[in-house]
Amino acid sequence: MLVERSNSSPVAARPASELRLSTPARRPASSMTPSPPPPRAAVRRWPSLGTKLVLVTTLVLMLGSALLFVELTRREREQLSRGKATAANMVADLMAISLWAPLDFEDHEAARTDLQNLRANPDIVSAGLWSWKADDRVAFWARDGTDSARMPGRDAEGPPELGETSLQVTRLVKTPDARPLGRLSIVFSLDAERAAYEASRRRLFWICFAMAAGSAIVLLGVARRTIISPVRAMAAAAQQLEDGHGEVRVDVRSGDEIGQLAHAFNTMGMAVVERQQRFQDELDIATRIQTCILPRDLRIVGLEIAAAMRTASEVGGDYYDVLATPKGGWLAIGDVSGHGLNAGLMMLMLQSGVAALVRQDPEASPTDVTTTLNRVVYDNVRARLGKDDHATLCLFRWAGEGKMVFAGGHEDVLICRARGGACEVVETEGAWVGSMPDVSGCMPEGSLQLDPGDVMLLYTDGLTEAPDAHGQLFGHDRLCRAFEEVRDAGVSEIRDHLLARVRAWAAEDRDDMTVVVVRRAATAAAASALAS
Amino acid sequence: MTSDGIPAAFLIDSRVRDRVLSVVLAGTADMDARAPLQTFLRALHTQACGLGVQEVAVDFRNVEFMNSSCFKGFVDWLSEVQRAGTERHYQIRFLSNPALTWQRRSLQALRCFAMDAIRIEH
Repeated sequence: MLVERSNSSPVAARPASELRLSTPARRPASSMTPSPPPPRAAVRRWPSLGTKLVLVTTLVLMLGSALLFVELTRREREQLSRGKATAANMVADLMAISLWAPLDFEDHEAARTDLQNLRANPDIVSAGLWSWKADDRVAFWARDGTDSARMPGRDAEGPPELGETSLQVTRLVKTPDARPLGRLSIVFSLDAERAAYEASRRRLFWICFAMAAGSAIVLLGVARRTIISPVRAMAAAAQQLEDGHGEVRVDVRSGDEIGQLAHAFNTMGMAVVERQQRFQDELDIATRIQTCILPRDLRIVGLEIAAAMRTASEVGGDYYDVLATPKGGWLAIGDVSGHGLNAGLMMLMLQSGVAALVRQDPEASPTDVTTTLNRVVYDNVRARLGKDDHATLCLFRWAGEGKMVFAGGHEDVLICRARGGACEVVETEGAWVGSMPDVSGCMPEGSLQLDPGDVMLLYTDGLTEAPDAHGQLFGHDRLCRAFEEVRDAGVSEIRDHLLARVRAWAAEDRDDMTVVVVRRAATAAAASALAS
Repeated sequence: MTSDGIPAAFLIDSRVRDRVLSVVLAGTADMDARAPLQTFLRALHTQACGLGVQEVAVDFRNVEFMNSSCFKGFVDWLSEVQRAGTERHYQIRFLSNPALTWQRRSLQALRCFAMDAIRIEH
């Protein structure tokens, strides 16, 4: 908000409806020289909740599917092997029974014929028969023609020997009264079983894969609908809330924990908005306090005065005042160290205190006024409000005839003389108001002389400490140069020029800016016109 | 931020030598520096008394800018010093850069807390 006042124009004080308003730029909480807000803590958004769920679900389902696949294939292999072993045992048992007679009668030709009959079975790759007495081979054949027969041991009768590609069954050939006559070995091919096993394994793999993929899709779909989307909606709503988008609601209707969380979020969001609104209301009140209490009538006999206060987004506690008295008048300028409502309250205390004390004794010493005011403000702020704010403040009493008496501690006063020359700097070296209970002895009284046409500039640190994009402050010297550029212009033009220069320099409106331009009327006629 | 929580743009260094506690400040003391500076200053009086120093020298010469919120920490420290009255056993010396008008103005205001105990050197 920009509030401008001037007594140099025919309309000395603009009515409230003519106050020029501007949208205050956002700025961080601060007092006289705020700093930019700290950057938001970087939030690593990857991996997202959805990605984590996809990874974890896929991993778990893949692991489960792999285990299921291994178990199913193991069972399939066992089942195929068991079936083959059963068939092989039956063939071997029948063959052992049919061979005992040829062996008992030593009819080896008949035995070889019986053994050769096994060739009709395509699963049998080789067969051999050995006599019990001489351990010599009676008969043998192999489908591939190799002579790789291995004679079974005398105790070799047992379960089939399962190899990678074949299954070997051995039997003792015995007479019905259990007298051993020979040893029989039959080797069965497992090619058909292996082919069936491979086909079954491929089928199981795709079934497990489809189950895993299907389950993952279903689970993720459910998770997306019931968890991820609501959480994303709440995150987006929280962001909107942070960005100040007013009331934000999340539309989640489920009754589970996510629904309860969404309900709690909505409740919290409403509470935040209400608090923000209350806080904003307080700031609005504080801003109104700060701006509405500003003087509307800047007329002091013998002086041309123009003033402006540009408030930042939060009340920074700038203060200025112009009080006319029968024999002259008072000027005040100050800056509260706090911000917000407290700064506004303290500013109001300063204004009220100065106004009361000056009206009580218009000819009082500025030192006495600031010292008394300090006691009141110190007691109010420290003892009653329990705050630790203080304020820079400088009071000027216009005694007429060009004499300005002042006391307090604030920014240096700048003066451009009508006769020319560089901008003069007058220091104010008093104590801060409200920082200590008694400042008597620390409020030296100074005085300065304004000749007709001389211009005095009062300002707050919002001008000198306005930073550009690189953090460089506008500074005292630039303010002097800018002041000198328009030293001969009217007080309103000087005011507007200085504010424009600072605004052009500043990267942002971080702090309140206040300018009070005072020129001693050049002639008695002009002074009289101003007074009227 | 440094490991002490002090913004990189603002540095606080302190050391004791010959019964003088030297505090060297450097950089820009804005809102980011307020909290660590206040924490440091809150402990300063107790530390100075505990160490039995005769003087606390605060060097502002390399401070480019300090906002009023940071000065509140000095106000609190000097208020504590003032409350200590005769219990205080040390003098305070501010080393100021005369080229920076804000230092002259603000340190002069701080000196008001104890004119007899605080001196400003340019």
